[in-house]
Amino acid sequence: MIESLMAAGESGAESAGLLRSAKAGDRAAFEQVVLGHERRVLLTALRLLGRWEDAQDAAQEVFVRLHRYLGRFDDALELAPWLYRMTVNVCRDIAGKRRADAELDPNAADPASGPERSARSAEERRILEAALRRLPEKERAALVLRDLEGLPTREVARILGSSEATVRSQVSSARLRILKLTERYRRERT
Amino acid sequence: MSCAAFERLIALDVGGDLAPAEAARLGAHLASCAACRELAAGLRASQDSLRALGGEGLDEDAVVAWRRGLMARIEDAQPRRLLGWWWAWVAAAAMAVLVGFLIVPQLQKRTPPVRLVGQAVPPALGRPNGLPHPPQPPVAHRSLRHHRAPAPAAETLLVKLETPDPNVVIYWIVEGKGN
Repeated sequence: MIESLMAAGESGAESAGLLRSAKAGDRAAFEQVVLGHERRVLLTALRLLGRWEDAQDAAQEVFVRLHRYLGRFDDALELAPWLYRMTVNVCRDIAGKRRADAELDPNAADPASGPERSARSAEERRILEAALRRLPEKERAALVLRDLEGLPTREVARILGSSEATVRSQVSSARLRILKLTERYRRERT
Repeated sequence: MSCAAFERLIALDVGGDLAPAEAARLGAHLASCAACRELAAGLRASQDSLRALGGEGLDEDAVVAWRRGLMARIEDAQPRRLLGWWWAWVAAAAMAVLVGFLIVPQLQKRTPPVRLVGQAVPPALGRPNGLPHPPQPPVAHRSLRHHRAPAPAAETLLVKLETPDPNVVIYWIVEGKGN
């Protein structure tokens, strides 16, 4: 499930083979592993941190740690949940070092692309991202993984190291907060 | 159940996170509550926006530049790590040599090898009846640690201990207490 979400056109067997080659020291194989998972890691970090610069740092740190621990990585484990878990942890560290009340920079470089980008106004997008950043950390992580990444609740609970009931509670609370925050921001801007 | 209690269920329902029984209970409430229907509509719209945000991709050039930076960082980390291990080994070896130089002479000073080289009985310490002491078996060259003076009762032994330092000689007077 997660592999299908994360791996860009790669089967699980291909992915496992690449991982084995990367463990053996094949740099090109490691780059292929990165290629297969980089967008999900970058996007998850971007949604959790709200800044492209921070997201790039976080994603680099995730893959550097993967490279460092590659030799000890258990072949029986799926890489995708490990990467999500590491992304959440690294983003938590980065967010802790950053000023908690920092606002999004409206002039910051925005790397997002896709068909929805042109359809939705930049203003609406900023409102949604600002609301996301106002969520408590754990609620934000649960919401990003469940609603933006589309992972099942059970998987989100596994990644966050909590129970399904806790994730359901966090997601429910986060959805209500997002609605209230976006409504308030829209009112303030009109 | 109040509308406030249904809010949580509505928020779960818009994401398909409700069990069928809960969804049925919510459906019955929504049929009769306009305020909750409005909330449900707002949450669905918000949910659509979130999913759209999650569905967005990333600019290809930005990702390629990021990957190039990552691979360069990993490449840089390799020799540094090897160098780091090399320095760790050198530091450990240097420490071992230093410890050897500092500790070994101290140990040698602290535990000088002692040799029991002989015994003598001063004439003044003879038996009270004036008779000479019976001949004693020599105990020379026996380790002090294993020394058990086989002297007969009420006899006195003078033991001379030689140390590696020629200026230091230890005399040890051993008095037997008798059987």
